[in-house]
Amino acid sequence: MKNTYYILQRELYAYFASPIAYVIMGFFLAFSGVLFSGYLSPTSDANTVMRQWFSVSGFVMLFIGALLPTRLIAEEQRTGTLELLFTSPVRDWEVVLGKFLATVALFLLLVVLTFYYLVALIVLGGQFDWGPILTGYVGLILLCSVFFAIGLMASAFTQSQAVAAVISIILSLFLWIAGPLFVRQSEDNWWANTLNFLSLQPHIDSFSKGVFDLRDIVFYLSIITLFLVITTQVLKVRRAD
Amino acid sequence: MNRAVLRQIGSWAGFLIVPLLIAGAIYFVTYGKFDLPLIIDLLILAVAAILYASTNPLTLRNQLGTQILGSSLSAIVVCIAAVGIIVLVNILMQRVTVRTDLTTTQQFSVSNATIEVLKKLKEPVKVTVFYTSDPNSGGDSARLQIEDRLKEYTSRTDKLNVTYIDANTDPAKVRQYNITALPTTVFEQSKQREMVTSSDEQEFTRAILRVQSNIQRRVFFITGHNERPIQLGSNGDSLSQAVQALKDNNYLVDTLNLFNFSTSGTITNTTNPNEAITLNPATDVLVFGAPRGPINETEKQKALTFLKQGGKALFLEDPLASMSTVPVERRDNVNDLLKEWNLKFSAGIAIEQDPQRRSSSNPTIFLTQASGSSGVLRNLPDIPIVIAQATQVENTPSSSGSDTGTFTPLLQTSVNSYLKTDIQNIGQSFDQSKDVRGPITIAASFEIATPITGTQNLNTRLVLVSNYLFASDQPNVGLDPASGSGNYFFFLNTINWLSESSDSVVIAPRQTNSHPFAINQGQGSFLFWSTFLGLPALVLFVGITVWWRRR
Repeated sequence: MKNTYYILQRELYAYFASPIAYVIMGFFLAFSGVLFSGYLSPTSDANTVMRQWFSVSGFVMLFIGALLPTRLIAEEQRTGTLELLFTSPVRDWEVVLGKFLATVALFLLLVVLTFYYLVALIVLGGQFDWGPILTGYVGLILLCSVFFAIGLMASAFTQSQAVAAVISIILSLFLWIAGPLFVRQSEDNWWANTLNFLSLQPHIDSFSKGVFDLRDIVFYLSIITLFLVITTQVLKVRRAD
Repeated sequence: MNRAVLRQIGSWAGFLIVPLLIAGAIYFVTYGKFDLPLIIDLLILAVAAILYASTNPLTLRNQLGTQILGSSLSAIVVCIAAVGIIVLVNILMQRVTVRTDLTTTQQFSVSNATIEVLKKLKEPVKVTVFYTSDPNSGGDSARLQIEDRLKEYTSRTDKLNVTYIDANTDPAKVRQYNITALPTTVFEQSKQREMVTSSDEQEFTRAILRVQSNIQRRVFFITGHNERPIQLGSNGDSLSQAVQALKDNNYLVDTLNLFNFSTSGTITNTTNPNEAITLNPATDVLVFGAPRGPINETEKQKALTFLKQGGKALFLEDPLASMSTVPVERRDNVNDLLKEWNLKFSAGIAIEQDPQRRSSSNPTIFLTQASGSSGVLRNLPDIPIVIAQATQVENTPSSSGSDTGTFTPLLQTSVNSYLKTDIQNIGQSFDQSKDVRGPITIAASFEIATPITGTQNLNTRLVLVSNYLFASDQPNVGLDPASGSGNYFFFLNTINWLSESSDSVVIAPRQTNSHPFAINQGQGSFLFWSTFLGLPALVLFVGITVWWRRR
């Protein structure tokens, strides 16, 4: 795990040393700010505003989540530093986990910045039911972690960041809307049920409502694990190549 | 045919291997059968594989020997294994319900009462949700609320079979069910059908209870003696919340004028004079809602006839209406009716001196905790029942030695209380010569067996509560569950016990946890600019600073 920690540190440093992280964070905050203030009305309810914000900010994060991790492996392949990493005494899964956690850590900072919304609403007289706020943030972090895992996998497949971003966005979008897009509500067969279950969107609902459902938590953790395992295996094949 | 052509054909056959493998897998997963199409698919697959291997032996040998192929195969196996494990874990998780509703009001949880109802379901209940997918009608959000609610229910039982029907795509079904509003949820079991047009838990559970039972339990509020109105009144003494609570909990509620009640037990329906209905002592409950006028002898006999057949009644008293100073035409004489069973409401108002058992500002407002084994008190939540200006409920055993029934105190004041019999001088202290020392029984139930008539062996059941205010719309001392008292549950438990449906459940309406606050235009603008520009600008400023220093 020490190697994972070193890689996490290195990637975090790389994020903050390059302008890309700041631009992406600024982009997300601007978008998120528009959405947040769009839900305010002359007689707002703080809980309702935040619930609506949680529901849609996940979709905005789909694009940010696809862009943030694409440089992680693709860039190393392009510049040739991946070869160095392969020759160092680091396991593939340590590389993948370190890079993934670095992106999650960066996102946590972004999440902390959005606490400004809570402070602003409290100052204006809003009263919070803190349970749904907690679950909303946990849900958002889990959902975005899925996008990061997909982005990381896409990044492992190609040397081009642009191609990785496209693959990542397409895959994330598919997982986001697979059920609602391809399945009619009244359809009840294994194919419809599987697609509905695989959709990321329905699983975020319980979090934004204020409900911790172990099934949804396990679902997100499963998807994250799956994509991280695939990424590790892709790196293994690249090492052999 | 020369060797090059053969090798080319073998290569083409090799290209077929993976598609055939995928097609076979999809077919098997879809239909779950190992039949002719799958056998043909596997045969072609085998022929293609043999053809490829026999015509391209060198290529095959070279590929199998490379490290990249070995790594790729190993990676594929690991990925397939990971998918398998993850699928298995998620399938197993679907069988486990571990949910925590962190909202303060438990907004997204079903009550224990509903869980009990669902556990007791023996036969499957068919649930059909009719909705509209038209986004302009706002149907989507309503359907989602219903879906959310039904998910809570289906996670507790496998006896609910839920189907969703889009009214736009299946109008024939809509006509078949005679659906008039969307969304509508239809609950069905055998020939019983209940329709619900909201996503409310009370409504859903009530519908499930109704489809299971062929019996319609009814509560009749007696009228004709200036009783408290069942429609919402302006001065808080109405019983509209009690009526709503009954309707929400599976009861049919109506008014009944004893004068129209014939001796055969048939009355004219007050809401539809052309329709006669028959009171059923087994399932119908009469409520005497604090009359302010005398019940005449004829009415009394009619009520006694019903009650002696095993009928049930709830007597809600207003101690101030039975005072001797009240003119006779406005005086309550319920005690004349209760005399039949040696029961009575005493004259007076109870005074509580224990600060833990009363309101801090008023010694006539009692915070009582129900205790005892009476069926009325079963499953009551552990919260105080608030009774204001109550008097004593008494039972004087008969000396004749015949069955005098079972009198069970339900609510009592403390030993530090007393009954002030002189209501005119209620401010004066305890008078040993006239007043009665506590504990004072302020609510009681009474049950007595009736002679066997026909096939039914029913008990007459009465509940006497010495002030009607606990079931009224009065703020703080009334029925409203939002006030935090247990009055709502006590009232419904009482009716459930009376109607001999003690298995019925009490579901309090869910309180909303909304705290709207006003935002003026200036504050709104500040929030917009600070979130849209302020925060991103701050982040970009930090980025530029880092870049400048590194430069």
